Amino acid sequence: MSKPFPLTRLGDEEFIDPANQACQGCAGSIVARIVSKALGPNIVRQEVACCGPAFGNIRAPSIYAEIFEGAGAMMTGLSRGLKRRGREDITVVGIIGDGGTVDIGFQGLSAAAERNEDFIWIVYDNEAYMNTGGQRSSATTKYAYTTTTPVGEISRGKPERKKNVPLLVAAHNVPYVATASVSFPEDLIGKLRYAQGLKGFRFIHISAPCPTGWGFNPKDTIKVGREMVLSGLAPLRGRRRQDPEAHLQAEGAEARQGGPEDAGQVPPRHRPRGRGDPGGCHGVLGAPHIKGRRPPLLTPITNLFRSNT
Amino acid sequence: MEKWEVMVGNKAVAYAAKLARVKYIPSFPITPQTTIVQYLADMIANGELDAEYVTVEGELTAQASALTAAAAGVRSFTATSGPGLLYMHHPMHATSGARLPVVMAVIHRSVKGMQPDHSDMMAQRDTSWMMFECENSQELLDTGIMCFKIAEDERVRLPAIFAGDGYILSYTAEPVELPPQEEVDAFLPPYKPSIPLLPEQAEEMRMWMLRSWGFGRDPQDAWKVQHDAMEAAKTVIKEVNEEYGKWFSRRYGNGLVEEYMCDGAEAVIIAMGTIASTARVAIRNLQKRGEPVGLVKLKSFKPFPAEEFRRIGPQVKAMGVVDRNISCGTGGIVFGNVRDSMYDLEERPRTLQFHTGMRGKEVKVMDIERIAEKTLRAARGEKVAPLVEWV
Repeated sequence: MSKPFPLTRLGDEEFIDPANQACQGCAGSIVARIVSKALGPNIVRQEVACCGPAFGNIRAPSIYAEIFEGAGAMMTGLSRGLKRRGREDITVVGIIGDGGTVDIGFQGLSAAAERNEDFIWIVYDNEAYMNTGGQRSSATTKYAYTTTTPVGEISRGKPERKKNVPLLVAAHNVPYVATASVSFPEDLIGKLRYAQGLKGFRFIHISAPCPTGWGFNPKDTIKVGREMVLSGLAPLRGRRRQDPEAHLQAEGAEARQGGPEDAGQVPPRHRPRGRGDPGGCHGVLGAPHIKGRRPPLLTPITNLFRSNT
Repeated sequence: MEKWEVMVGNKAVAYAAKLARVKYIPSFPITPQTTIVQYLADMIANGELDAEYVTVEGELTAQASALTAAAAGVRSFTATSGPGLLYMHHPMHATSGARLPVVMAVIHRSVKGMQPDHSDMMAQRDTSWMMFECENSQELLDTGIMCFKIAEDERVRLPAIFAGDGYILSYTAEPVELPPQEEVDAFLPPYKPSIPLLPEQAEEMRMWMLRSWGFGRDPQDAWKVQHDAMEAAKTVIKEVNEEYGKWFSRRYGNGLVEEYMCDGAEAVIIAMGTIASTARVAIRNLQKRGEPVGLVKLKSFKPFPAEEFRRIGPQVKAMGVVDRNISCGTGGIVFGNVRDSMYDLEERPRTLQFHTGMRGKEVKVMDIERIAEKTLRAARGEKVAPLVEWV
């Protein structure tokens, strides 16, 4: 599993230009810097309409199209096209907002995950449609104030819970799903580097507080992000897919090993309990019965990506 | 050597993609297009075609991923019908906006029901895609191959639709001549991408992005370059049609329009797609009876060959435009374009409007004969009514 990797060891070279159009204290902009540094120059990016293109000063080439729901589709075409061109060495990556991932882009996300397309989907989650002025998204937490779920005499903000998208992506049994935070760069870089070494659909969900939309002081972005992790609102997790055939192989013990936990700096009480995920989707839907062996207990994905939202 | 095979229109479309050696095919089924992607799947399964075949989850993804695959540097092809085409609408703007030569087969299906009319394609009229109508399976195959050459031409670089009427073409078998692969390869060179997308081209790509965002330019330029490319395409279409004729001895008029038995005609009717095929029979019948009426088959709807109509206009006394579509509140879309293109002529023919074949209504030879006779009466100065007729 991924090991934390310090920012200082990534070298001095920056892959973004110093100036950009992001707001002061923008976590998405910090994500862009960390991602471009961690993944290096051999990447091609996909951009859809979100705050991303506003701070899209990453040097690596990108395709931008105003197809808000098209991140999964367009990264599919990019990675397949580059593969056909004989350039499988290039990492295709998209830094996509929460709306383009969990709401309008969700069909494309689910479909690309199901097809196990070869790219890294990075979502910087600022928990609302911040580029259009802070409207509710399904990534907004319960009771949060947004411009379309205002707090008033008879309203307490957003009535619904946050959609747990890392869990939903993990249920597609993709090679790698992780949650990270902009406030824990070592953990994030470790996960990015780990993901880059894998093939297939990789999903990294990054908690990215937004001073403009949430109304806190821009100097506190990192602090807010850290509080979110430590309070269990944005736990740091990672899950590598097990070999789907594993449960059919030799020893049950072996099949039950390895697995989901990737603690990072997660407080122990948030670590998953149980015996790990023996066979990804096979587990979720119930493992095929094998004579003489009890099917493994199966809650780990839900445990793993449980959060206090 | 040439090979003949009896095949349905959808198979001819699949062969066009195969002969063009497409490399990226996003596939999603919709009647009556479905068998195109099935034939292509078979070709790939049997090792006859080497391409990325992605079974996507909807037409929007088909279009958006064809866009980026073309940007990544591979020849992209997809096919759809009716509501599927409507679902592609907004990524289609992005494809033409990025000047990516994606080619798409549209097998017409009405947006009201499953039977064919041109309402699905007409709804995409202003997406800056080139649009070509075909009247038989052979033309579908030939136009498909030509589309790649036209779309990928440096002067054009716009996506293209080649279309045929659902059911009437898609599931009707007729003999089709398959051009040899080597000759198609010689006619159609491999696709050269125009976007510098690779990591080692990062600086060029940034400049390309800035240009495409329109920095430092008139904001209207993004539209103007597409319009200019569309105008330039008229020349390219004629050239490619001529070159195709030299290679494979089949030409479709001048690539934009085809005049059929128009010599000495006092009146012409104008039709697209399979209605043009039916009209050929009607025109032959009428000319046997000594009626001087011809047919102008409109092959290229976008770019619209206004110059051709300005040339044909003064030669005749009346034009009857057969529209398999309607823009409610305005009328026939082809009719509007034809009439519009001739407005500045000193001597204009009379123009009559006919709606027929919508939602798959059967168009018979006698219907076209009636249309042609009415147009001829108008050409002879008789009073005809109504000027807009639903046949």
